[in-house]
Amino acid sequence: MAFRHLPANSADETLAALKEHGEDGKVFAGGVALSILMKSRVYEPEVLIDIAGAGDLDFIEGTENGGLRIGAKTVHRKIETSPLVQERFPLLAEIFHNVATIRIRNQGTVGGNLCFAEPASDPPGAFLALEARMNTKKADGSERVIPAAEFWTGYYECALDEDELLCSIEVDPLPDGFRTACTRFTTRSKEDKPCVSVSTAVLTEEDGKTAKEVRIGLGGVEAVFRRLTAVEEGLRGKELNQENIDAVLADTLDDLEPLTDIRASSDYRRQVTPVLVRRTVLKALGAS
Amino acid sequence: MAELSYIGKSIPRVDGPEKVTGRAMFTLDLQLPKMLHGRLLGSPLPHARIKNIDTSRAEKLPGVKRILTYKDIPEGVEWGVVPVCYDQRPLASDKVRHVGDSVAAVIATSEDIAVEALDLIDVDYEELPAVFDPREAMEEGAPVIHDRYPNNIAFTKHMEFGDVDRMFDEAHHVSELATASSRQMHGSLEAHVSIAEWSRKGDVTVYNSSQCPSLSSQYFAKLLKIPEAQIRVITNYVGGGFGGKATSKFNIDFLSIIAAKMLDRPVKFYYTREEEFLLGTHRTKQFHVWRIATDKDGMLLARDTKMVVENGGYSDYGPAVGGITAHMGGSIYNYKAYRHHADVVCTNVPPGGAMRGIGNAGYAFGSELAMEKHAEEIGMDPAEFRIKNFVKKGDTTIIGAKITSCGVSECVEEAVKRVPWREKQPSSNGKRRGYGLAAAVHFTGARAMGPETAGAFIKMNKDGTVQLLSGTIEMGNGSDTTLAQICAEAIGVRVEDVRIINGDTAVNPYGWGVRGSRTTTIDGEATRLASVQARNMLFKGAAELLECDPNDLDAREGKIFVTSSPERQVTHSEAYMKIYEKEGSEAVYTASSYDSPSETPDPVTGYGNWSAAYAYGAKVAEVEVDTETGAFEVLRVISTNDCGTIVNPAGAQGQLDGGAVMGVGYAMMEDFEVEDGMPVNPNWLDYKLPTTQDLPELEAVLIETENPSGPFGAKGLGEMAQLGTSAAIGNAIYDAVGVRITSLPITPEKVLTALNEKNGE
Repeated sequence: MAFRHLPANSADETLAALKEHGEDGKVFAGGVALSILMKSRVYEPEVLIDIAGAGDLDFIEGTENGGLRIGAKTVHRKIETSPLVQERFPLLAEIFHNVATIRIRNQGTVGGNLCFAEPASDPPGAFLALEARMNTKKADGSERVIPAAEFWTGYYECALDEDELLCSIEVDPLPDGFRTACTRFTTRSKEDKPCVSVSTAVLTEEDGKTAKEVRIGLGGVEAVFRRLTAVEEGLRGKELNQENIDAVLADTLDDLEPLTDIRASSDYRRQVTPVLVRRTVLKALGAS
Repeated sequence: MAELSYIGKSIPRVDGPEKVTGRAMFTLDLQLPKMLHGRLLGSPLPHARIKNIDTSRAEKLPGVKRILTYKDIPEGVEWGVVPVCYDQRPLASDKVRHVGDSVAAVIATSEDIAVEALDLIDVDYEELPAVFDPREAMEEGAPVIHDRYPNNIAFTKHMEFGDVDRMFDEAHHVSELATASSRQMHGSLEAHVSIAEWSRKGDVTVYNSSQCPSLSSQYFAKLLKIPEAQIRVITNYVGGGFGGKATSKFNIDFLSIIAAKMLDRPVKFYYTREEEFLLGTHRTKQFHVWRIATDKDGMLLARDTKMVVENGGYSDYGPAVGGITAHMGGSIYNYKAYRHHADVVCTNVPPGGAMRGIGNAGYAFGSELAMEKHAEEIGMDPAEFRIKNFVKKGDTTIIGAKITSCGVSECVEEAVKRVPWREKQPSSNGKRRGYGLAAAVHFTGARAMGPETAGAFIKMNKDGTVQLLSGTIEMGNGSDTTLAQICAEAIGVRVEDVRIINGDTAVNPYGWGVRGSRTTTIDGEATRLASVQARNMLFKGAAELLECDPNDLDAREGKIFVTSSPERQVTHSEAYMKIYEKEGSEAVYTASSYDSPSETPDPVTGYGNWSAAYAYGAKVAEVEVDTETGAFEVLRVISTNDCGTIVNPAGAQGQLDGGAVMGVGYAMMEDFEVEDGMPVNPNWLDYKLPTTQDLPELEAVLIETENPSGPFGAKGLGEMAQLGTSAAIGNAIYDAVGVRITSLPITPEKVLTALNEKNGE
C-alpha cells in the first residue's frame, strides 16, 4: 500500500493539489472513513492530500442573520461542544453529540462525514431539515452553493466534482416558532451507526398543533439522504397527532426504498421508519 | 476458622497500577533486535483445491526474506484439541477450507513489505462446491471438507442413561423446543502473537500470548521433535484470552519457530483484527432440539437433547463442545433418564473454538429457554420448577457428577426476590416490562483431556519476602492477586511481600494454564500446599527462637507468633535465618504438585465425576420492550453466584459484572456473520460489542458455599459469570410481550417479526 503523502495547508493549496493530481488525489481530513478503506485495501489512493494544516477550513462562526457557518474541516467534537452551536442550533449539537464515540468525534470532520455520504449517518438528515447550504470551491476559482437537498446524489455519492472542495456548511436561522427534534434508532449497540435517523423541524399555527410547515430529513434507511417531501406536504394543515400523522405516513411513504444491511432488513426498516418519523415529529411538537 | 487476613478481602489488583498506567508489557508490544515480520496469505475462497502456488514474483521484492508454503512444514505438524480430530496445519496443503485459511506466509524486514509481498503471490485455485450450514453438511451428497470425515461429522458425543423412551411414554407432560446460538467473538484487545528466537546453543524461545504456555511447549516439542528442555515459552501478561488463546498452539507459533530457524533471526507473527475473526476462533454456533418430560408433580423425568455444533473448516475446541455440554446438562437438574446426542460438523466457515463457558453459553441459552417453556406449559412458576428439580449437595447425578457443594436454589431465590417476580407489569406508551430467569452450572477444571494438575514453587527470601512461581498466567482474570492472597494467607506474610513470577516454562512448574475456571481453585490449591510447606519450615526456626512447639505457632501478616500468647513473636526473616545460618543449613524452597479430585469419564458411556467442583449461578434480567419497533432495553441484570468461598470479593464482582456484560452482548448484538462462506463483519465497525452506553444496571450477589477440595473452600467463577444472561434476557422478553425468540442474537427485528406473527399480521 504505497501512496504519496501531500500536505496542503490551506483551501487554495488543497485545490491546487486536486487540480494537479486529478482522480489520483484524495483529500484526507480526519481519515476516519478513508483510513478504514485504505487499511482494508478497498481503496488505494495514489496521492493523499492531507489537509490537517488547512486552518482556514477549520472554524465555526455565527453569521450576521443569526445563522452559522462551519468550516468543512471542523471536527464533530468541536461542533458538539460549541456554545454558539448549542445556542443557535441545539439540533446540531445533539446530532453531533451522538455520532460514534468521543475518540472518533475528536478525529472525524463534518466535511468528511458529508462528502463520504455513507447512508448510515446522522448529520446529513439534520442539515436537510435545517435546509443548509454547502459552499464549495474549484481549482479554477469558481464557487458554488449547493443546497443540502441536492448535495447527496447516490449511494456513497455527493455532488462534488473531482476538483471541487467542500469549504463550509452554512445554516440560516430557523424562522420563529420552529421546533426541532431528532431520533437516532440503533438495532445493536447504542454506539452503532444508525439503522434509522430522523431529523425534523416543525412549525405550527398559533394553536400549537396544526402543521404549518414540517421538514423531515431521513438517513440510515435509503441509499441517499433525502427530505420526505410527500410526507411534509401531506402533514401541512393537519393537526399533528398520532392518528393524523400515521394516516399521512400510510399514504405518502410508498416510495420508500429501504436498504438491507447488517443492522436490519429492508422490510424491517419499512416497518419502523413511519413509527420513528411520527415519534420524531411529535417529539418536536413537545419541544420548547 | 478464625478470621483470615487476606482471604475474603478485596485486595487491590497487584497488576492494576502497571496496567492502568499503560506500563504493563504484553507480548504484542515486544520487539527483538534484528526481528523479522511475518504475514499470512489467506484464502479468498471458502473451499478450493490448491493447484499451484507461485511465489517467484513475491520473492523478488526487496526486503522479502522468505516465503513459506506447506512444503516447508515438517510432516506430522497437525493439531487440534480432541486427539481424534487433529486436522489443523500451519499452512493449507491440498485444499483451503474456509475464507482466510492460511495458504502462505511471507517473512520480510518490515510489516509493510510483507503485506506488499502478499499481493505478489499467485495461487491457482480450483473452486470446489462448499457447504455452510452444518445441518446440510451432514446430509448425503454434501461436499466433503476433510476426507477423514465422510459425512463432515468430525465428532459425535452420545451419552445416554436410564430408559429415556419409557420416561417420555410415561410422562405427564412433554415439551419440545428448537433453539440456535450464534458466533460470539472473544474481542481480546491483544491479538494472537508469536515471536520465536533460536539461540546459538540450538534452543528456541517462543514469546506468545497463550493461555497455556506449558501446553504450548509440550506441543512444540512433540510436533516439531525438539526436546522439551530446549524449548522455552514465555508469556507476558495476556491482553485478554477468554478461551481464544487456550488452544495453546496457533499456526503462527509453528510458522515463527520454523521461519526463525531457517533465517537465524527472530520472527514475529501476529493476527490482524480481521485474522482474529478468521483464524482466532469464536464461540461455536449450535443448533438444539430439546425434549423435556415431567411427571404430574412437575418433577423432571427425562431430557432428550439433540445438538448440531458448527465446527467450521478445522477442529479447534468444537469437538470438545459435544461432551462438555452433555456433562453440564447433567450437573444442574436431576433426571431419571438422560440422552444427549451432539454431532460436531465441519463446514466451510472459519473454525469455532472455546470461549468463556465453552459450549455451555449457547447450550444454556437453549436449555433455559426450554425449561421456561416447559414450566409455562405445566402452569408452574419457572423459579419453583427449577428449584424443585435442581441437584443438591450430596447428590451423584445421572451423568456421575458428585455434588460436594451447591447453592443453586439460594441463587435463584436471591435473584427473584430482588424483582417483582411474576407480577403483571403495567404497560406505558407501547412499552412493556418483563423479568426473566436462567440458572446455570459450570465446572472448576474438567478432566476432559488429561489430569487436572497444577504446581507451585515457593522461593522464600531471607528478608521474609516470597517469590511464588506458578504454572498459570495472568490474562486479566485477577489470578496474580488471588494467588498472592492465598500464598500470603498460608505462609502468614504480608500480601505485598509476595511476588508472582509466571509465564516462563523454563522457570515455572508445569500447568494447565488459564482455562476451565480452574485457576483460583486448582492453581490456588497447589499454591496453598507449597506455601504450607514453606510455613512449616519457618515454624521450625521460629519454635527454636520462641522456645515452643511448632504446633503452637501461627503466622499472620509478616509475624510468626505463639497462638496462645501472640506477643511472643518473630518475623519470617528471623525464623528463616535461624534454620539457614547453621550447619546443615536449610533453605526454604518448596514445590507442590496437585491433582484435583476428579475422575476421567468412562470412555464409552461418558459417566464420571469429571470436575472436582461445580459452580452455580442464576441471572435475572429486567427488560423493556417497545412493541412498535421490537427494540428492547435491558434495564437490569442481577447475577447471583455460588462460587464457594470468595477469595477476593472485588475481583469476584468484577468477574460477575464483566460476565453479565459479555452475556448482554451475546444476547443482543454479537454475531460474527458469514454469508455463503464470506465473512460479513470481521472488524469492530460492523461487529458490535456492548459499550458503556449499552450497560444495564448490574447487581452481583455472592452466595458462599464451601468447596471441600478448594483452597479455603473456593471454586470456579470466571466462566460461570456470563452463563445464563442470554436466556434470562430471552425469558424476560417473553414475560414482557409473550414472544419467545429462540435464536441468538435477539434483535429488534426478530422481536417485531414475532410480535407481528402473534398478532396475526
